[in-house]
Amino acid sequence: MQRLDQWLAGYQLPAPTDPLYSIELANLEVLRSFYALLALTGDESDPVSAVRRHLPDFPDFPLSGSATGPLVALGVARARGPVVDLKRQLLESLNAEQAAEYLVINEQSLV
Amino acid sequence: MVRMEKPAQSVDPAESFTFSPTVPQAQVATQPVNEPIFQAVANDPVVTKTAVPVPSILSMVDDIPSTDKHGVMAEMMGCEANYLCAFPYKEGGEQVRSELTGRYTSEVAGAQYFNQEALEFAKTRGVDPGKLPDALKGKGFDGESAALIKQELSGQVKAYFASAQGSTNPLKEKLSQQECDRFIDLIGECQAEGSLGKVSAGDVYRLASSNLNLLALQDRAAAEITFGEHGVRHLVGHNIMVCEKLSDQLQAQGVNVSAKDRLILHQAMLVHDMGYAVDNCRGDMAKNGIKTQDSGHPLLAGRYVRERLQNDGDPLNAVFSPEDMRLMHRCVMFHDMDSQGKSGVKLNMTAQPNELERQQNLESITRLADNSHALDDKVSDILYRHPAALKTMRQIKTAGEVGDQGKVDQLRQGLRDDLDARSDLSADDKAALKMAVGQMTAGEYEFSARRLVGGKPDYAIDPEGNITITLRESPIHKQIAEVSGQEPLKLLAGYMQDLSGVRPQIDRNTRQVEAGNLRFELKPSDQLDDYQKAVAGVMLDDQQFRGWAVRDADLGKTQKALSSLIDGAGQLNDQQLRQQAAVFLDSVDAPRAQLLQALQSYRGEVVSERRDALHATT
Repeated sequence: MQRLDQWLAGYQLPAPTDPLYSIELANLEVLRSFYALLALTGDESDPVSAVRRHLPDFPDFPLSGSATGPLVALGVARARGPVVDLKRQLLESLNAEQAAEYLVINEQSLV
Repeated sequence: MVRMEKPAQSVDPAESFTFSPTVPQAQVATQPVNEPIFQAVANDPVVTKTAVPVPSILSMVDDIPSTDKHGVMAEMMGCEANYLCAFPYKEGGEQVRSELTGRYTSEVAGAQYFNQEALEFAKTRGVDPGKLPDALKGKGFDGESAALIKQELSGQVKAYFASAQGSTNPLKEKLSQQECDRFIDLIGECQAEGSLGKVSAGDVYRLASSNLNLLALQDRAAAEITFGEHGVRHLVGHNIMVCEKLSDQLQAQGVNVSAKDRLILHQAMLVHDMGYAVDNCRGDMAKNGIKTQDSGHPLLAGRYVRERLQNDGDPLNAVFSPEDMRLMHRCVMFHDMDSQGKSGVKLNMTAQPNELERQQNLESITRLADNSHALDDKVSDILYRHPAALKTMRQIKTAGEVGDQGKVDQLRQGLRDDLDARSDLSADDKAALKMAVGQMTAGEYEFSARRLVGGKPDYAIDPEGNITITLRESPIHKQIAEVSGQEPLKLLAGYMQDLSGVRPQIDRNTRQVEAGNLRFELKPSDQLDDYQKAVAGVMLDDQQFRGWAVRDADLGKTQKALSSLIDGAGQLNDQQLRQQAAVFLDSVDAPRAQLLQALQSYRGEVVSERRDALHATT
């Protein structure tokens, strides 16, 4: 998924010695998982456009820096919210091939 | 560091080996002198007792092969000493070395103890491997006696693998029979090529019968665990078959591979994984599950080979010369890594390989065969014979991650009940497989599922000695990844690294990879083999199960991220914690303790959701 790689290219992790490293890494995995869903189910050129296809008025979120920023803005890892609902819809809409692709991507190492 | 005492100056060649009842008791020492060369002093092995002279500079013995028996035994000991002292343990470091030293020096890892155990195992199947049939008494080995031996062995194969008191496994019955027949044929070929001295039919029978006995015992031990397969499917179905294929390929390129070379490979492969079956590994795995018992297992098999060489009464010595045994010992000791701890594959393509080239070729064939068996048909017996167990293992993974031990126990019991209901398994099969069920843990699933990405390697050797390994990708590997959360490409890269020593960069479009002197070709396969069909049937055709697995994988990721924050919160200041907590919580305008409580509460909700979904599917 070349597009997914491009979407994630701007995000960075702190140094491995930083106490935030493992936390940010886990966050990046959550973000990557959601972006993979968006990429598999649409053909938008960036994640903001991909979200706005489903939620037209959704505000901008950072496309670079720490993964924590977009996760806070999206709220995709929370218990409830519009993007959580969107994630569930997208998960349920995946056909067998997309679902397989999604999880294969999901499990690729980030480091 | 190794401290060595002054070695003994002579050896009594008739010491501990008592496998053969035909060895007169008077020749068997009451106190075995082939005690291990190290004392189990943690991290500081000490040579305490030797049965043969040991060179004072261990590193030299690799370079100066001796062909007389004492010299060969000394070299073997040096080889084992070097292994224990210098082996580059990948995981566990000194702890692993200490545990391995303890196992290696134990009496129960000795040939005498193991062979006694094998004899007792044979008795439970109604077989007496040492009892020479009357028709073979006093006969030399020839075509007529070879046929009689095969006939006798055929009955024993049935007792082990097609009987109510043993296993009922048509595949293993077939493979074991093939191996017995081929082994006897190879001895005949050795005789024809002049690489075998005068040998009696009784010696050949006792060797082949004891090999079958060892094969069956190792197979039973392998069936009890979930840690891959080290029984008949591995030893014969893959490794020995591949040794033969590679030998054929070398011969086709004009390189001499003698019948004796092939026989050495057969014998080495039959015992190379005995380190898993020795009592102190097998028992520890059954009691404590899989830990690091596999680390250094070639050393235990090396000791076994050496101690059999030490006993003149062992039929192994009637068929194999000390030089043959030296090569066999090296193949066993270095079956996964070479003496430098590397993958070390080098095929010498000269028509008549010299001594060193022959050694390199035999070791390389061994490593290629063993390290190339890591994919789908290397799965443990419980998964191979009962593919539905994979589904249960996936559920156990979630039950373990959400801390639901009651569910883990319930899932295990359900699987045991399913095994009991199988009419095609013998009571002993069921007993072994149910032991394996007891070892299924949350982490076990990923180890097993990732093997299912491909398999059935094929091999080609070109005139320069470069090797091409063609792997058939499983047509269901993506679907397996879907429910297992595995990345197939990572596994394939690791597989290539184990074989070549080089970790290649591969992606989903990769079809061919050069790694060292190996070339890998990935060939997509459209057709499922029988095992893959069974897996697909029980796991992938179940829509409800698949839906649960996908949702559970997503929730598992959230749980992991929450745990990462909660576990690392102690190192964050208030502002950092607030910033991170906002990933999961709608409001973070609260004191630190309250934030942590809210995060823990949310994690509890995620865990509950996973637990409830699991209970709803089972």
